[in-house]
Amino acid sequence: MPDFLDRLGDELLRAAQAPRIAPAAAPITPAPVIRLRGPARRRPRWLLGMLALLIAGAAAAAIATKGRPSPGPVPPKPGATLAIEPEPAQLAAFAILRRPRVAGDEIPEGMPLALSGASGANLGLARRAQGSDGAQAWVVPGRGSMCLISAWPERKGGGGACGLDSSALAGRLAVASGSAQAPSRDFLAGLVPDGVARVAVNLPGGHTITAHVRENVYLIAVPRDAQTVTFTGPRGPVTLKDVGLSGH
Amino acid sequence: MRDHSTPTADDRDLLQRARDGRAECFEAVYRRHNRVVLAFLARRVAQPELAADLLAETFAALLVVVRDPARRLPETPAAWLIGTARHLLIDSYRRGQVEAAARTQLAMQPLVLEDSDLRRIDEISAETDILEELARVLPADQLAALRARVFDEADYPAIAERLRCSEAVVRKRVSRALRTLRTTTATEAEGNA
Repeated sequence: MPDFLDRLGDELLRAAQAPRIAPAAAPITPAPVIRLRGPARRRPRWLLGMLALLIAGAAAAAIATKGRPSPGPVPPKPGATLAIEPEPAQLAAFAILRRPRVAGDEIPEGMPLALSGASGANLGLARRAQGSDGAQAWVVPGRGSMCLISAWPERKGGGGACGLDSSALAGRLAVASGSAQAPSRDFLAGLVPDGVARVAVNLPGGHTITAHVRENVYLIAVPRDAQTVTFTGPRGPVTLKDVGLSGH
Repeated sequence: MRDHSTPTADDRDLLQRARDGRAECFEAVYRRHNRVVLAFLARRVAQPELAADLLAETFAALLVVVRDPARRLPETPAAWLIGTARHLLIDSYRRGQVEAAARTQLAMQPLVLEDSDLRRIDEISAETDILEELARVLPADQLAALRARVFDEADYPAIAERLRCSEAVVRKRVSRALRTLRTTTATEAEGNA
């Protein structure tokens, strides 16, 4: 398969070769771009994200503190591709999306966060799941996609990832993050469909840690050498491999 | 990765030719600068997929300019690209979402990223010398100040001490460097006014 830079180059070339049309005749809502993968396992570099704001200078810092303009469900603007409401398949699979949205679901202002336009994730539709030890995560519905954003404020850890509905519905949307304040531990967050009450985090030597699911989300700190997460979903056993950051 | 660059041609000349109908000339500019823009972005965002998203929108924005004869072409396309990438990055933090207007206007198809692509972004980020690329478009004093302020994240007094000049001079140099990176954007806006 060609390098993604080649694929993007091909797409730009195709666009450059296309007949020129008046802006008013241009399509309004084609999908923007990049499809995020699933299961997603990124080392979220929150501090780098904060640095990015600092790099941007005083103007950017001021902008950042204003936060995202989506305190509630927002209708998409012309040309935008945000989800207007959770999709039926998402509602059917995730109880957290079926409950009314409350003030506590709002993603805090100033969180260094930017999502790919491809997901169509609407932060105004986010629901928050609360874990122990101050851990929390937000489930954000998008257009054919879902995003999971995690935060572990006490350890300054957390991150986010998006995946196709098919991955999310299968319980394969998870985020592993690390923190300099807890160098031997990973902070693991995952989204699972209704009916999954717990997941097993499997460690070397056959050891297992059980993480309980609350509102479709499990949030747990695990040793960095965690290998797999297993659980039984609606369609049978599921295994997420290489869940720890040491596998990256 | 394929290499379609045309090293002997000037960037602006290539864009003019692209405007005149030679689409492959735009591709040549893309091939020439995609790595440095990607590296610039990848070092500033938490997720490589986000860097790829911003990269696509940056080049799409350039293509929108090229395809609109009423808009002036960037004087220094490499600087324009970095400046635009930076603007889009800041805007993505403000909006919580990457701008997609240019790609939407061009009806570009979504790009699927595999894990191998994400690793490639990390590699490019590590391999590419952004400052070497910027050195081609910025005067040395502005580059030094910009490097200290934007890349090394030093504060103004520390930079002044390092460069042995006053804080005011440092601020002016950084300001000029950023203005250089913004110049063509402003020029473009004037062209549209």
